[in-house]
Amino acid sequence: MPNRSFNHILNAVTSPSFYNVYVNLPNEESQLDSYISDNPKFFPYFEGAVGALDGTHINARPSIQDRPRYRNRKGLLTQNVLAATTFDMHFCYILSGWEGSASDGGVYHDARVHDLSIPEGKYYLADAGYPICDALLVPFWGVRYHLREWEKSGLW
Amino acid sequence: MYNLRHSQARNVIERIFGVVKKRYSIIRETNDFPQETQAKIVSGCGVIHNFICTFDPNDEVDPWEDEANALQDGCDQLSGGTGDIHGAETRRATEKRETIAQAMWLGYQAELQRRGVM
Repeated sequence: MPNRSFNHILNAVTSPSFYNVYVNLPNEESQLDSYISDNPKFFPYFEGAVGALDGTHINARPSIQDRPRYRNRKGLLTQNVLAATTFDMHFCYILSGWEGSASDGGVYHDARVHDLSIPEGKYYLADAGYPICDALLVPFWGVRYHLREWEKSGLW
Repeated sequence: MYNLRHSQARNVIERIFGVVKKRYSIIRETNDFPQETQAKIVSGCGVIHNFICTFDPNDEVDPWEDEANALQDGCDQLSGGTGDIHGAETRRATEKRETIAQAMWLGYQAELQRRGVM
């Protein structure tokens, strides 16, 4: 039965013995990625960055009684997934299963309380929907630039 | 300038979401599996993505090639519901960001001067 093999494989790839081999968090010894260190626009400014972190909505079909919680701000039924990636495009953290109505900040908080450990002095780049704190580097609020002005210089 | 470079550097997370959503139709479509399985599928696709990157780095997907799959992320500008970040840490983090932005700006000015633009 295809359904059973599907579950079987899904359980296998998400079991710690497989999952933890391919998805693991940077630690104190992790080297700064060349994506940052080789780009003078990023280095040395982002030398403490170990990756980037964001939330995304994945379509979901929850049971009828659960639907209100899964409805996101756009009215769609989704789960809110928090993920972090290293600069070489490997996932280093995924927290799935939060209902679509959950706030990004709330999901992040849950992750931090549980298993998202971030080495001291290091941080992830995140967007302005996340709180400003030691482990995240976020943009300034409401600052816009005239892109063309910067483009001309070729420096930004 | 800080925000621009920050968003450029942060682009990897948007790219990786794009790659996964493009590569796995199961992520784009809904299914009738129990909620727990639906959550597991997302983690499963993530780990398989890493597996492929490790063993077949040439198997690349261009996430922006087909805009139809454009992410429905949007900019999430929700106020965070985190309870444990307070005064001292917020101040410290704000200062760190300010320092980085300052350094970038000075570096930029210096580079302009070097090139004789100013």
